[in-house]
Amino acid sequence: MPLFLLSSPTRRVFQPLWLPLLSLGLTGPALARSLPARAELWRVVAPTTVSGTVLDEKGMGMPGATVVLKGTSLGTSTDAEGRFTLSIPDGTPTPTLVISSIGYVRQEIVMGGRSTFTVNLAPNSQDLNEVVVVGYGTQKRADVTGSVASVPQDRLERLPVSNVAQAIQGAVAGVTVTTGSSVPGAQSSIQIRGVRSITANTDPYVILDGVPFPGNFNDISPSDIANIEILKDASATAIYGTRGSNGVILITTKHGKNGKPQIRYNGYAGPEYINNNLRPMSGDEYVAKYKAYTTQAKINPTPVPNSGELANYNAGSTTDWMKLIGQQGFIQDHNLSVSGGTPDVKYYLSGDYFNQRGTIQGFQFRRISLRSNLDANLTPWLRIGTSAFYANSNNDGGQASLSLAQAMSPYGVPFNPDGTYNIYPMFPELLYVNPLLGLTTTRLNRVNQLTGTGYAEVKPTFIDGLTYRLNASYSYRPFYTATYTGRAANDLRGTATILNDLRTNYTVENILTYNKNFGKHHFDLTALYSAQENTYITTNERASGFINDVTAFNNIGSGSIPPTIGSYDERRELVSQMGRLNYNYDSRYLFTATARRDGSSVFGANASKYATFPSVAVGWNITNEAFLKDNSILNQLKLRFSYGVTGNEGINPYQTLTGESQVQYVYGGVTATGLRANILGNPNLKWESTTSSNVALDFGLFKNRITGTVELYDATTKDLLLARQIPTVSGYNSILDNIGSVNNKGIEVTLSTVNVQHNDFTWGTNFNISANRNRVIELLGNGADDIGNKRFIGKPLGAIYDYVKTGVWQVGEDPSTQDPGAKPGDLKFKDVNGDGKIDASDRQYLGSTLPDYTAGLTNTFTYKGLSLRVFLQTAQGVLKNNDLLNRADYAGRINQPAVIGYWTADNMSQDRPSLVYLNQRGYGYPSNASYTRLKDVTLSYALPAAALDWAGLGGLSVYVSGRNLYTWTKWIGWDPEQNYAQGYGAGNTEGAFPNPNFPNVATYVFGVNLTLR
Amino acid sequence: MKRFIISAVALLGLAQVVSSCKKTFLDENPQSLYTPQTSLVDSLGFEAGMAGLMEVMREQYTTTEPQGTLGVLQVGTDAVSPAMPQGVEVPYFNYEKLQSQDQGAAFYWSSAYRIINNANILIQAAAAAPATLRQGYKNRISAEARFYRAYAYNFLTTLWGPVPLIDQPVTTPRTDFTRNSVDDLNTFIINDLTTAIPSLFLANNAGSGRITRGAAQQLLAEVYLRAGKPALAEQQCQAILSSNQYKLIMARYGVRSSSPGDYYSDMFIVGNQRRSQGNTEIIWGIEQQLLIPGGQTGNGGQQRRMWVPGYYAIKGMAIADSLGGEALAGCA
Repeated sequence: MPLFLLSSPTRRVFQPLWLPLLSLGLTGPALARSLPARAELWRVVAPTTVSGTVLDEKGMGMPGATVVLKGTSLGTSTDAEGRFTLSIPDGTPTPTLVISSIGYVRQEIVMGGRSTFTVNLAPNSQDLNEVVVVGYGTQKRADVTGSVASVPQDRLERLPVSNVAQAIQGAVAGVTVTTGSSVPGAQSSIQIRGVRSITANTDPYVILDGVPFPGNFNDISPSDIANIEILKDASATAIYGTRGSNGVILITTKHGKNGKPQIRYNGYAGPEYINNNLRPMSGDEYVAKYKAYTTQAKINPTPVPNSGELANYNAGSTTDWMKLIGQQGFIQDHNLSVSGGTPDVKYYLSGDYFNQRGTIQGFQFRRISLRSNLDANLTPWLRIGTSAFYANSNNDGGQASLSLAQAMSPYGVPFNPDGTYNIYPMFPELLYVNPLLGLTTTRLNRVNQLTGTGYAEVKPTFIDGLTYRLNASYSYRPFYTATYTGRAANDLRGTATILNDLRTNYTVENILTYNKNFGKHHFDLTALYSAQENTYITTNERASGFINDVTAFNNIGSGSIPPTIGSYDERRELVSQMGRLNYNYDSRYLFTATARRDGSSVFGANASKYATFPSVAVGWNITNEAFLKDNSILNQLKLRFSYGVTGNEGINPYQTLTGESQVQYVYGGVTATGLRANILGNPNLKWESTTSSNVALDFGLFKNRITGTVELYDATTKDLLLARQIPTVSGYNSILDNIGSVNNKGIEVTLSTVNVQHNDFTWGTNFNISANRNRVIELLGNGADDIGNKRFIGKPLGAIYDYVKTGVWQVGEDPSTQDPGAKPGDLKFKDVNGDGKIDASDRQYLGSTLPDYTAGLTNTFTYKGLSLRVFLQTAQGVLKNNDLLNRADYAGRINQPAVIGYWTADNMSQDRPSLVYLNQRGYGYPSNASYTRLKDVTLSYALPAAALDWAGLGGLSVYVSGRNLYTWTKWIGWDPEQNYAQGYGAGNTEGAFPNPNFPNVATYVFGVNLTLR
Repeated sequence: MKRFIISAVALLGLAQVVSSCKKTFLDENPQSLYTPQTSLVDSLGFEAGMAGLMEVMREQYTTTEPQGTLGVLQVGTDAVSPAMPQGVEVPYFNYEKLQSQDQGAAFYWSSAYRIINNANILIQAAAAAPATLRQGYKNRISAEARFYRAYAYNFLTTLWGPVPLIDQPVTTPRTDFTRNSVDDLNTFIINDLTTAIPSLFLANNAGSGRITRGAAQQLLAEVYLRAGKPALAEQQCQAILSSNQYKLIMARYGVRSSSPGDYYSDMFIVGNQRRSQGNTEIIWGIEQQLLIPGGQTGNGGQQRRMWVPGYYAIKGMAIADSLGGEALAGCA
């Protein structure tokens, strides 16, 4: 942040401030070079004054930008609203303004007689002076040797998302975010550089404001986030040792800055719609389908399958079940914050309210969160601070069922004459009940997250460069869920459940850092000692046999059938020591060495609970060499290499111990509690460890108009924790052991260009693409494939191993030499081994659910205060089983989406089987789930300074944003990315939250960002 | 630089104090998990271990996974004929279908070794149990466990001949098991039973369902017969006869004694089967009880579906009231 306070020759009083600021390296190199010419400043006479506003990519005024008259040291910086005035000496030939700011591409403007300007700066993702958070400290980007990707700032605001994982989807190379469900409040999964484990956790490690965060992304309001860095290679993640294998996400929340209080409101609200309404067959289509079914099944033809549908069929009255379960979706978020401070005390306080009403009845998510970040310098050598937040998430509601609505006959009867829900709309069909029944159930689902972090930083005044920091964090997360399903939902005895759980976590970290420069040698040492404990306690009750539906779970003891109850407690501990050396010579040759030693409670008493994770990295800033210095084309070129080991301890506790399960026996008819051995603990369990190398090239061309990074990595994970079959002679079937190995190789390209930068118009593009190749190396310790779990040596995880469908058997075709016994309308499979029959050995590897490559493309156009951002995201080469095609109409019993056809002797479909096809081979209907999405488009307008002055505001911008606007895909179904399980349960029983079936939604919001003056 | 080193050492020292770092910090102390180390330390723990072992034992006769397992050892004999096989029993009357992945054999094999592992855990724990437990109690618990271990090895040796002999709880994943000779196995089984017999209660003193001296002697007699030592077998049978603990049912008794019927069938009627209910003939019974927690394996016994007259499924036969009777059953 260049604090350039000198704005005109008359303000000589500020002149002494130059030197300390410059010597701290806080201003840009351009200014530093102009220092010797400072004397010119005072010779100026009779200046003309120019003024203007500098805007960022969103059209908002940019404070602190530097404005310099080219070829002189005349300069100023913009104020809080991005405005500047500068005096230009008369007689300057072709006066040109140079506008720059850290993190933005420098712009030059020929004044050409004008005296007021609006200047838009385009962001530059590769600014070398930018300070990035690297874990246990910060570093100048130019000096970073590891792979540290910053999430572009524009992904963190003006997006209608409930959590930040959704916002960064597709925005960072090598980071694969999968939004498995559009259910309000659902989580997204994140994978960094491929899947590295099978049994253990594959989620990246999340660090919030410097300390490990045990909650989930839903607890963090996206509006409170200042920046996100993602650590990808071993050098960057090895400082997190055992937690580093899956990558690390560092989230920093907003902190107060020196200055008067800034009161900000950010808010948006707008409707949501079902994106791809998978229309069920209409009445006529349904009747035609059933007619085809009766013909194929050779049963007595009736117009509809069930007597309960006849009345509506005869009356010609149909029900649109999708409309019946749907509702108008709506999303809104309101965030109010106050920040500011004095040089010694800084504060940031915020409150946030988020509410999302689903597009299907009963679905909603709301969150209320409060945050307080304080920093205070108590003495010159002591700084303390806290960062505390509370989030209350509510996911209550009995829910309508999408899959049942899909299954309902258009002639089904939704309501009883008295207006209540008809339990069996297709009576006497008893399996497929009314999709609305879930709405009569009661369901509470509430999380409270309370996290407090405090730090104290001691900088002994007698040793320059030494800092000791103590971080202490505690997090408390009670979760409560209760359900009741009563008579109206077809449970004639009434069933109530209650689940209470509590997760707590504490972390204590001691960090010692020491910085020292010896001439051109720069040293930066970090040492860490930390301890962590996580506890998890849960209790649950379930009872049924209630006399009526009034008390529900509020009097669970009144259930007449003895309740089942349970409780569980577990805890895990981690102790760590870490040391890191960053060394650079003249910012040209960079070197980083890290070693972390971790001890985890979850590993065996026989093996060491401790392991050490070393890494080294080297970097070369080629453009800092004399031969490339000030090169007019190539202004940035850096080569990096890293190699290191990281670990994964993400398994459940107590797997090293042989456990006994409770059973019951009877003696003389009286119950006795028994214990029998059921789990063979493995006292030799140790870490999964990943050895990886990373080569990268960072470049910047044409004054950073084009910047980018190309990275290659190769990571092999060994000692994979896997359940291994053991001879039953031991009394057990399997044991968790370190046996497998998996490799991930990949390439990542990030490119950021400023295509047009012309006075008040800029067009910038951010593009990233990454390809990862996942390959299993070893599974069971004996070189064999694990066909049961669909894992194959040499193939990626998530393998699809199935028959090869080549068509459908038609009437008159002879299957006897290929698939004896196949009937017309059966799927035709390739006889892979040519033995004249189709059996399990004709299955083969067909593809993987892991994408071949993912990419994201952002184009941002800015004209004065107006800004348009278009973001496209893609995942290609994905093969997934399509359960919807498999279930289809469940042998004539239910309706199916109109888009899924069926074979008849007449239509001779080569794609769909007949309606009586039983799929006894368990073919999974693997289908291409690749997609490209118009993920979001945002158009925003920032009010110009004059209007703000008139209104007395500090800043005001308005925007409209649309999300999930269009998807290009060959997938047949609700959505290629999201997961659907076909079932027939009602409401709460359909699938455990948060995974009931839910359509993908399109969101359109109107938003306001307002800053008071 | 000296000051720097001093401060650094001091701060790191402080760090050690501030972070909790007891030696035991990383030890696992599960609060919700029973382990042999924490449960087998007093008589309540050993009683639970024994109930668990008996529950494992009971599975061999009552498993429902899959339902047809109960018929596996019967359908190949002339005692019954298969009527509506579930599937797992098919290779046992249609031998062409018998292959190396046979599910029925896998169940009986692994079930026996589950009994052996649970017995091994109890025998080892009893030997190591604290002195607060009476030696007599430790001997008896160990003796009961030895009975089950001997039973399981006798079962395995009868069906498979030489099998791996494991006499200690398995604590690490092993794959290097080899078969022991039948002679070794017989010696081991006979040793287990002769060690157990003196420590077991006589039937009159034993709790319902618990293993008695008579049951062990009966098993030992069977083992001697299989080992080709009929004289020793006779000795054991004589010991049972002369123990005055058992006598054949010769008269009506129990819950249906006033209803029509015969004294032989009385002991098969619910309410009459236990020794405490008047069944003086029973030497070893595996306990079940309808509608009582722990009264049956899994979802309940499938005997009611397994051992029923199934003449109707045989071509040319029809369902009729006059058909039926004990031991005239098919697998349904």
